[in-house]
Amino acid sequence: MTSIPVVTSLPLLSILVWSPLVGAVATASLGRERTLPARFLALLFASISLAAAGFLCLGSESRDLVELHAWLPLMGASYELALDRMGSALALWISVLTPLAILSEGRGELDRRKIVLLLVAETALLGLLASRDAVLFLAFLGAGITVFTLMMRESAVRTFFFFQSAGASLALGFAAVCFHLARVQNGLPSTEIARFAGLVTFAELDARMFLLGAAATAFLAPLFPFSVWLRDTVEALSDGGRLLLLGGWSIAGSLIFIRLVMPAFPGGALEEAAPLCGIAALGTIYAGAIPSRGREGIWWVPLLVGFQGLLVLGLLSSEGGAVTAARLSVFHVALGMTALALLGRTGKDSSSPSTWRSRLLAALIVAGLLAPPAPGGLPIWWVILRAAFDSFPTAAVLAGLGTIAMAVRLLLRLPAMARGASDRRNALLLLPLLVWWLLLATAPYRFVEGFVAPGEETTVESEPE
Amino acid sequence: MSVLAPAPAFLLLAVGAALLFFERVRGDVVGLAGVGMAMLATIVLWKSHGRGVAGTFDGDPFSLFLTGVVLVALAIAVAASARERTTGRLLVGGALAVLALSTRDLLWAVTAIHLLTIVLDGDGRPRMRVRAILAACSFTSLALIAWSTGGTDLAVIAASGGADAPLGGIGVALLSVCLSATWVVQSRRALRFSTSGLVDGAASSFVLLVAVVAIAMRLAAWLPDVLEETLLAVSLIALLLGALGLLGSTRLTTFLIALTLARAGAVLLALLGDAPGRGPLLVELVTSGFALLLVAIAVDVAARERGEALQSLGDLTHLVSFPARLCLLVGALAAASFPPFPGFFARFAVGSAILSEGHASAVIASSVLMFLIALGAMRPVIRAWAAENPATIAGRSRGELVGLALAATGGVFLLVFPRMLVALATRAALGIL
Repeated sequence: MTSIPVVTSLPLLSILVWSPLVGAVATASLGRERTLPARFLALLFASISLAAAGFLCLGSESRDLVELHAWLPLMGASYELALDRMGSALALWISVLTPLAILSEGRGELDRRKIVLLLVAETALLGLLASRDAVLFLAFLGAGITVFTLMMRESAVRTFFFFQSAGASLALGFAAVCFHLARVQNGLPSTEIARFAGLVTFAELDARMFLLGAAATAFLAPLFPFSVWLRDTVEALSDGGRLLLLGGWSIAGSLIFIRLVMPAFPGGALEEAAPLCGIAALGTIYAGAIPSRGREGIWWVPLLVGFQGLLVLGLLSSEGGAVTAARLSVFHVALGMTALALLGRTGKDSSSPSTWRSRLLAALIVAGLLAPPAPGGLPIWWVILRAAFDSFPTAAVLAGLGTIAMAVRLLLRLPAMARGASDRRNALLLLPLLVWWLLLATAPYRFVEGFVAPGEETTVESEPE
Repeated sequence: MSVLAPAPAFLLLAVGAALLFFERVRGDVVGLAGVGMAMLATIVLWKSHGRGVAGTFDGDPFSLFLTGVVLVALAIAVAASARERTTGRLLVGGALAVLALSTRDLLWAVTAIHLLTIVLDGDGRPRMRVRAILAACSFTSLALIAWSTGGTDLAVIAASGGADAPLGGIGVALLSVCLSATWVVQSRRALRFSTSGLVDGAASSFVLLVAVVAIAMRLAAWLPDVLEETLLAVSLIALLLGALGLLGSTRLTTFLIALTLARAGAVLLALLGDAPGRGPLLVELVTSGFALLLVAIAVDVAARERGEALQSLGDLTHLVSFPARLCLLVGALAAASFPPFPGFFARFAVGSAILSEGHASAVIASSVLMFLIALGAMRPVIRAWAAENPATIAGRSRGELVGLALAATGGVFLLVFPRMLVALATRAALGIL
């Protein structure tokens, strides 16, 4: 696709990030009773963001788009937005997810406050994906935490805010130390994330910083055992909030790991990966084995911890193919959890018996979750576990057992999922997800091209265009 | 220059005294006019080329910056508060604070601080015994300093080297502890009794904090090695007490005192960053005033809506309008330096400056405490935002409008375009010596 000069001269990244916020302000200015115009207005602004994301993702020149403005010169902080291939694909996903979240709410359930918060959450998520400056990144991270905190009922707020703000505080500490090191080493203050990758540190500091970043990831992702808030939080959110939390916010932890921690302290990752691999593997066991007694409606929520564990395991393995697979699994986890959240909705047709169509839909979703293909064609989880076995055999065996338990759990729940898919509204909302899955399965290299691990360039570039 | 330099303080003093004597005039209008004139004089002095010597009532950038901060806080308090009778006292207090922060002679500064506490007390029941003890300790420490160094002017003290002697060092440490304690006693008194008139209380507490921090900054700048341990201890204790208070309080007023204490701890901790930390410290100080006033306005508005003073945090649950809830959210989380709320970026620069001075453990401890402070600060926010359908209030009160304007202005100058503030703060910090 050739670039259109008029379009590329626009601040597309800012339009992408800020248009939902403008929509939130516009929606907030409407009267409290006018929920229908509010819904349309919200969808309109979400569509602007979707159009920008679509152009950025599908336009061939998207990786060249960078917006850079001085923000705080004395501190070296700048308003720097940029998207690579994976980032633009994730931005497109978030832009699709938000209208889905708005549409998933019933007409009587969606008030002005919910619409406003959903739109602000979209801005936070898109900003998180696009920001290339640590201060900006943390600002969007904090904004996201605050919005989700305000979105949920009081019963779960405290645990959610505790764990997420702990993660944010650790991330802030991590970034502040990186800023200090960059200032000392370069002689100039800078909070540009790319500069953190060029830091020169000694082994002990490398290991400590990696552990600090890993702890932030464990709280935010969440990894076991920092996931105790998850089920309460999902219960305390409305349908739209659930979709954004599980399909969108679950990316935040992985993003910190991929963008900030791993590039800055790869030596620490080699030295101190074992404990993180351990808790990642235990997360899969937890996800497969924890009973859902009394919480049948959200039996699927712990699976997020298991999938995040596998993702982290892949990122920590020394094999390039597994790292690429893990990066690709960010999409699969987001899609899978969104699909499960949609199937868990209690629509008006949910109690009706399942049809062959609903059973097929549920089976496709389970297949997409259990056997998503890596660029080589093999299932992602297999690629990750095989690579992890070479570096961390005990953790890999544990994770393998956990993955089997998760698979059994998913298969046993297939009838219940089919009943959820029998609701026509749910089925319609699932369609965009299936399209995404199809794209991911047929051309996985398109989604990770910008984020290829060292040594993997040939594999990816050899794929046919 | 030296004749014009104390103009902001004298203008405030004159208008404040007039308001105290002529009770029939509208305190808010006259008060705002007085603050406006003082601000104009400050801007003219800032823009003028020939600046005086730092800390000699002579219009140096450091004193002028802090004068501006005090004036903005006073303007917000006068505009938001409906208690016109307190305006005169607030303005006289502001004038004394400006005098305290504009001198490097400790005798002048300490005298102004203690006079300020008397003025701010007003007609209530001052805790005279505590005040007397604190004043006696302050002047005793000044006597110790003067005995070992030959004067109370910081330039004389630094030149004599007497502060490094045991007696001088004890004097400086005792003075800083006494001033901190004076601020704590005054803030507790200003905030503890009732949520009505809370904006005035928060403003007076903040004005005193600015004066105390100015003295502490001058002490740390002129005598860099003398105060290090004292500052570390005082700031961490303040942060710890603030965090515990925020997590454990059930009364709104206790919560506000804890929030104020936590902010003071954060500001004092930045003093450990020495010269590179001074600019960010001033940003932290501005953030403190912004956050405290915003929270006070939110609670004040809520109390007005309810028609009676609020007692517990639970009272915030049902009767808070959207502007008040927004003010509470922004103020409480800005006080905790939680991203993306105003001023959070200063933590990068402050942390880096403290690390450069070799206080890694202080950075770790403060990070943990700031996390606890964020948890505590979120408590009333959660309660206020938990209500699904809060009451609809017809029209907007003056407090709400001021709160919204403050939140918007703070958002612009402390978050979206902070460059100007940071540049001003850096220039002011460079002018301290």
